[in-house]
Amino acid sequence: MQQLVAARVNDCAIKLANVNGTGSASANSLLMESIFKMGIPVSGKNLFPSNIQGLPTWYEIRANKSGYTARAIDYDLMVAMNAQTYEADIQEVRSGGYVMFDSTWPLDEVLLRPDISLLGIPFAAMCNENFAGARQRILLKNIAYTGALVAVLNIDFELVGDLLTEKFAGKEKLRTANQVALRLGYDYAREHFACPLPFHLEKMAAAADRILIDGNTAAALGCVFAGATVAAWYPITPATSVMDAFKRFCERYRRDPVTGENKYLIVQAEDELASIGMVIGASWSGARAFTSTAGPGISLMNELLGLAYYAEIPAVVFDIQRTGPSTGMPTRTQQGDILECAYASHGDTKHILLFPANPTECFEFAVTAFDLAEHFQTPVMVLSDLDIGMNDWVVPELKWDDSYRPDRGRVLTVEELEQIETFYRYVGEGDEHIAPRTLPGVHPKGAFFTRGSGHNALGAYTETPDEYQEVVDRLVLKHEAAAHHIPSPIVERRAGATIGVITVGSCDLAVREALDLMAHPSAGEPAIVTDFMRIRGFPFGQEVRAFLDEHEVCFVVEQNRDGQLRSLLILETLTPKSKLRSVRAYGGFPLSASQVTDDIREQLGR
Amino acid sequence: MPAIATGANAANRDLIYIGVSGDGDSLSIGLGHLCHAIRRNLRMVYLIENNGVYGLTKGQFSAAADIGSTAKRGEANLLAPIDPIALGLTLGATFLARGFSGDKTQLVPILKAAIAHRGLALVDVISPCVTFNDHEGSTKSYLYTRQHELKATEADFVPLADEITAVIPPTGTTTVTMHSGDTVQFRRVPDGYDPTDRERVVEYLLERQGQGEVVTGLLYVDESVRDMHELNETSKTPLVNLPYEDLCPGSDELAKLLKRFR
Repeated sequence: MQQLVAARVNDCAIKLANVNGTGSASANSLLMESIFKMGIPVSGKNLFPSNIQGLPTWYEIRANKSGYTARAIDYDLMVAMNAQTYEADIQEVRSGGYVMFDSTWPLDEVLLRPDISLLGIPFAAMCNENFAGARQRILLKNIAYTGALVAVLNIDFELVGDLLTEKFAGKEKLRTANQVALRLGYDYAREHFACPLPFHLEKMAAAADRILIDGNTAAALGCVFAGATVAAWYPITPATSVMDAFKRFCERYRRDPVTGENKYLIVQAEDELASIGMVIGASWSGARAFTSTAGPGISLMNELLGLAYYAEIPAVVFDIQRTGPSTGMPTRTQQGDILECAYASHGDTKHILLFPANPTECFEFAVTAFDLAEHFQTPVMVLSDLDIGMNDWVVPELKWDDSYRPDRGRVLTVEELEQIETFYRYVGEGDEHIAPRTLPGVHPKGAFFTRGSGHNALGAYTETPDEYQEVVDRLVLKHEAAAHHIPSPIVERRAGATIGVITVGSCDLAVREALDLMAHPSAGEPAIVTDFMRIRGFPFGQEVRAFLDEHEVCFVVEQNRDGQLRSLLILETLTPKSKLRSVRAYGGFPLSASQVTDDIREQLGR
Repeated sequence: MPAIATGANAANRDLIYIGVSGDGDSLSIGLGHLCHAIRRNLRMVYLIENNGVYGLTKGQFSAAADIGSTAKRGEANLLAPIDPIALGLTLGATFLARGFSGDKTQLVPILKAAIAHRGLALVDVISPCVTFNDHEGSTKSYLYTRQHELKATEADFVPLADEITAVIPPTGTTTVTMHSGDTVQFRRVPDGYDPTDRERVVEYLLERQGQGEVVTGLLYVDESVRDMHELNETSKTPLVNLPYEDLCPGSDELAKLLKRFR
């Protein structure tokens, strides 16, 4: 076979094209996990449809020894298992790349490309011959192609076998069938092709502290460690797995081994209006409470987010962003809720937002979110997305500091209430303008009427302009004070850079890679040296403003159509509009470096 | 309202929760939340101050308005009413009562029993709107209610402590012992009526309402159903009172857990 690509070790991108509902997901994550266990930096992106069975689904694996694991859109190898999408899939392979396909049926000649190599393996025939039952044959085809990939990519066969054994522990029949299928694909590939391919994998000295985790699981774990006891939610992709994970962790850590009593309560609500209402009710009572949702849920929660803002009640909301507006594309990623969350609800409102970029930050920011919500007595929204939330990421092991204690904010104790004459709810204190609150049932002196209607600093109903304004003006000062508590941006400066690149959330890896590519371009292209800033929260702090001031031009890279982060920067800082240029990718798939470099180069004309 | 009450109750099960709402909220914009609070058997008293109109916005019909009932300006309501008691019966409500704001004698024991009830106690209180719905042609006016009210049951609430100290013998036909040990003693119920028999209650109410009567009293009670916390097996200590040290698994547990993610 002709070998058209240069030999590369631990640097390749593979795409697997499957039919949804055929069991490919577990085979694909098995592959990804195997590569992770070989110590190689790797990412797996599941590009799946909003459908239970039948529509096309893809899985992309990128292994890269230097740690560039953002989505790559130049595929070295396509595993084309879906006849519906053959034609388009084959076009996506880079010149000199390979296509692995099921050769049980001949591949239509019109699909052939002269610049790629074909790896035909009769997966269907193989499985029909060795296994009984239509369902099993379909499922095991996935394991057979996994076996073939193990051979052509030089993945550790034993390691994959061990993972299968672990996975099917106690299910002997299934385990055996899977091992047989793995071997079938593996042997066929070894027999018929020059294995491994010029690009392949080799074990690396693994960084000892790496784990493989998705953002939603990490966020749920953060909620457990933060001491959240009440959670309310309404099922929605891609946020559902936050609550699934929270439930699992609570069953493990929050069930009294003696009494069987649960130290948590999760309510599956009737809608998102109810779920945010429950969070507000529980937080009002003094519990740490949260909900997880996606954009459509945030839309429904708007009204009550306004209540929590105005009545000054903590609430933590995880928004695992997906592609909007309306139902949009529920299984595709986007960063389209930035403006909606920043100003959620009618009237003048401004909220605290946190922007995690990876599962580590989902874990850490979960804790930060509860501290901020209670400290500032206001909703805090954590804006993750489908890419972070549902895909597995390789990240450093999560760490916990046992000396951490929650910041419960200014809550008056029984002793404090005993000593004051009369409690007035909305009198701000000090530089942060936070008004001490009381919890229900603690002391009769702490009783007050919580109202979403116009109120004055004393907590009484008002329709008087000055009294109304006194309260809402304090809320602005309180929000500004929060800027000092928001995680500071990640800033990286490079010698000689005049251009700044600003980004947020899951764009992180792709943007970093893009900046490296522009600084060290391939022959013929001019180098472009840029500074980097990843914003991690709103309101914006001094460091964000300083970065904007320092640069003549900044590109704002984000995943939405309207450049929402750019708009928020323009609205909330004094930066002139002309200074901020926009780089946007919003088709629903995770960002890749080449999208960023192409756009910036084009805008700069070099 | 019930969503916020659900959260508050979830966090602190030791407090008594009393929710007051109107028919406008409860039977329209907040109907879904009422239904699900009933389904969860959230321990609270849910009071509907039911006047059949939206008063603050000047007299539009609510979903409680009867067909043919007229507004102050004369137009007649054409849509079928939502009856919170009938609704509660279909949703598995565990405490249903209807009172009349003009009859404190009847309402007070109902409210006492509602507070003692383990679960959601729905009390529909016909509360005529003296500004927008107290005219001739309205079926939620004082006059209409007085003329058509049928006090189906008469009950006394006897707190456990009183019963022990005074040893009040059961005076009525039916006694329902609350989960708390308190009792509701029915002085009078219609022939063959059993306030713990859902099917019989449904039958009776449909029959009387068919006759144009406004049936009041403690109409249905079921103390056998577990409330939200009992269903969840929540800690007896309110969640809000659990110390943080009891909630955070700590770094050693994290390290142990993360072995599975390696």
